[in-house]
Amino acid sequence: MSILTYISSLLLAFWFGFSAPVPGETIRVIVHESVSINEIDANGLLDIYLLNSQNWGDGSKIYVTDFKGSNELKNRFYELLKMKPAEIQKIWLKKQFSGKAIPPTTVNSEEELIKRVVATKGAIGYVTSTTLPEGVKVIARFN
Amino acid sequence: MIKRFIATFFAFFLSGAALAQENELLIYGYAQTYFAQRTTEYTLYQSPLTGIPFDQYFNVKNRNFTLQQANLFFQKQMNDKFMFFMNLEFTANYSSRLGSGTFGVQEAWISYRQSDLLTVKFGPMLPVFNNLSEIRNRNPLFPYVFRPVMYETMITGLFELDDYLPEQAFLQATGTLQRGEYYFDYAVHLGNSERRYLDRRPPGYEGEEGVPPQNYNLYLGEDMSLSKAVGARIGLRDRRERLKFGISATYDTDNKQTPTVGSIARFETVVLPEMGDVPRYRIGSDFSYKYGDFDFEFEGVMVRHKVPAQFAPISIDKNFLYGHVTYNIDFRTFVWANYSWMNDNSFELLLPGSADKNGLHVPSLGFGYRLNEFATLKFQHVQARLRSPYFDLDLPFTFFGLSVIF
Repeated sequence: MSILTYISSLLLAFWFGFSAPVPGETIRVIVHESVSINEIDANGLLDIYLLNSQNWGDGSKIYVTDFKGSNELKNRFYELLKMKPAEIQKIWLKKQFSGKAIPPTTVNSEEELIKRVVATKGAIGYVTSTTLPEGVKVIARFN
Repeated sequence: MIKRFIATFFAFFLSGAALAQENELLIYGYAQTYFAQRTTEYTLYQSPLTGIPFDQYFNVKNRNFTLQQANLFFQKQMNDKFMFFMNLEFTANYSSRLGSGTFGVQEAWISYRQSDLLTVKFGPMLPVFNNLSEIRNRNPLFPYVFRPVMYETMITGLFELDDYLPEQAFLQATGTLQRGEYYFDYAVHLGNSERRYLDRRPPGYEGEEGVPPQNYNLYLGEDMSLSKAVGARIGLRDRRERLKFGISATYDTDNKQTPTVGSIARFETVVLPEMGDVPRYRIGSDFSYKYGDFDFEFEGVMVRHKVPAQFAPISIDKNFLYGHVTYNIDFRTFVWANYSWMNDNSFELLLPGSADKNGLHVPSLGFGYRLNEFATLKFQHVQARLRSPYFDLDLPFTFFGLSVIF
């Protein structure tokens, strides 16, 4: 591939908004230690993050946490669920405005998210941090 | 030192607020404001009532800024099972001082969620019917300013929404059954029949119509009839909610005891037969599909009445159709076009071959731009029209709107 072809491909990709997936750190899905399940797959996460599953297996309430605005981790997580951020936001709004679900609590940082999951029975979130405090457990890992 | 104190204070305050959220009272809402240019073009060929030929044309324009609608929600997850939800709605530049617009408690219910299979709600609510019906007044969810004709609250006097849709329920059970990649939804609801019963004379009252006795004031605002409404919906959607399909139905009675309000009764000269409580069935169907960057929506409502034998073959049946497509150019920008149509056969009581029987045709197109996750700019052109042997009515409207979520 000539340099010109390479540059023009890059420019085209930039122009049309394409971006190659960038390998990142492992995404860890964390929950409050009291949550009754120990593992979950991408479909299970999708059901929870689209607010279709609102209770854990033991009947306790699921409290979903997510990040405010846009960040790389959030984008990667949504790609994992094969959803676009705008799609998810629209589904959340629809369920919130019709009273079908409480919208996810949004936080600014991983640190804040971890604090919230530790302190909230039934909470779920996702992080890349490898050092996790007591009070949370990891139920899924995605590379 | 001061900086550290302030940072610690805010960190403590903010984390406290976040942690309390699962049981705190959430307050949120939205507002939609527009600038509109509206034109009314009316050409009269012949008097619908006397048959006298006419050659009249008028064209009236107006431009205005309007707060189309603002809704305020209160929502609280009481515990793992119970949730409270309240929806207050203000429409059309609401002002109690000027007597303009409307304000009402649209919903105020508590729900008990036993599991994904069963949630029971009690209190006034929008019943589950077609897809649009359930979110009919959630403006930020729509790409348009002026909703498909049946749902647009800015239109008053042409028809009564009660005649087409169930407006309110008081008890509803819903649930979802998941099978592989699909969800099967159901809903069953119970409520009063249409709101026209709220002002009805109490049974046995034989006084002057419209002048209630003193003790009737005790019941103002309550449904004094024995007639009640039942309805149900079954639906299917895929896991990512890109495909949705449903069939809905209701049964109640149409209050034709005192046909003096709304719909055809806007014509002072028309004399409507008093048919009593007319059994009514509404059947609706909706289909939504997201394909790539395209969103498609279709919806239909058929309203059928069991008119008493002595009034046959009079028909007061009604219909509504709607089709919509949006193309999402990118995350922020979208263009769309839609078409909605509604008709009311009871206008045959006014004159044979009436325009209203042919229906109100409303093609529309527009585009929008999401400024951020809270605000969306919307542009729309509407070309509503009525056609009849007697007159043509064209209503070209242009809207620039801003929808804000807070």
